[in-house]
Amino acid sequence: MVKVMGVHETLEVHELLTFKNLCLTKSTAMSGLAQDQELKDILSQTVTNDKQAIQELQGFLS
Amino acid sequence: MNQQNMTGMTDQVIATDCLLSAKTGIKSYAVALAESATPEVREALKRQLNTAIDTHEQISNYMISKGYYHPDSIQEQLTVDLQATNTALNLSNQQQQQSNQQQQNTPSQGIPVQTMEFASETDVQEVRRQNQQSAQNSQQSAQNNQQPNQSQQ
Repeated sequence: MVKVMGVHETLEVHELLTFKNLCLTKSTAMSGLAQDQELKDILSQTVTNDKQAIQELQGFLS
Repeated sequence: MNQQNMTGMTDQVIATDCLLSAKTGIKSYAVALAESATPEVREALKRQLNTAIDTHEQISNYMISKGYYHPDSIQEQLTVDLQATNTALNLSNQQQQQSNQQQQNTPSQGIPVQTMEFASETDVQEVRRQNQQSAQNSQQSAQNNQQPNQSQQ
């Protein structure tokens, strides 16, 4: 996939992957610290979304 | 609640961090979309941008319902945020005081204490240098004072 992508595209996708990795790590850590159930639910929803996004982006770069 | 107060990671802090991440994510996806050329990449980024927008809606609605976020009143928002500012400043001040106390209680152990000694050593050198300079200055001014006297004599 990397071969058919332009360099500018690869750079942007790479940057998004780094950002999403950080988001996933933070959301996972924070869902353990949060007290409110509603906030916990939002965080675990974020974790699911982030995982999916990361796997998709990973597919473009490998 | 105790654990949250000790670490400072209250629900408000967690929610605010989540909101900021959602905002940054939307911007980053928009920027990346403007650079996309491959159809598959564009489609994936579009879908993920929409997810990011939904997440932003969720977390901002949550924060509005909890009174952390007041998009329609800058005055109320300022009150909340200035309170958060004080909390953050107090937390870091408390931690600095605690670490200072720990260093005083356990001397000659660990790297932080060595750093302290190093800092105080440089402080001593600095003070010496300043003393020398002020001594030289006073000598010079004394000479300056003497010179006109000599010329008068």
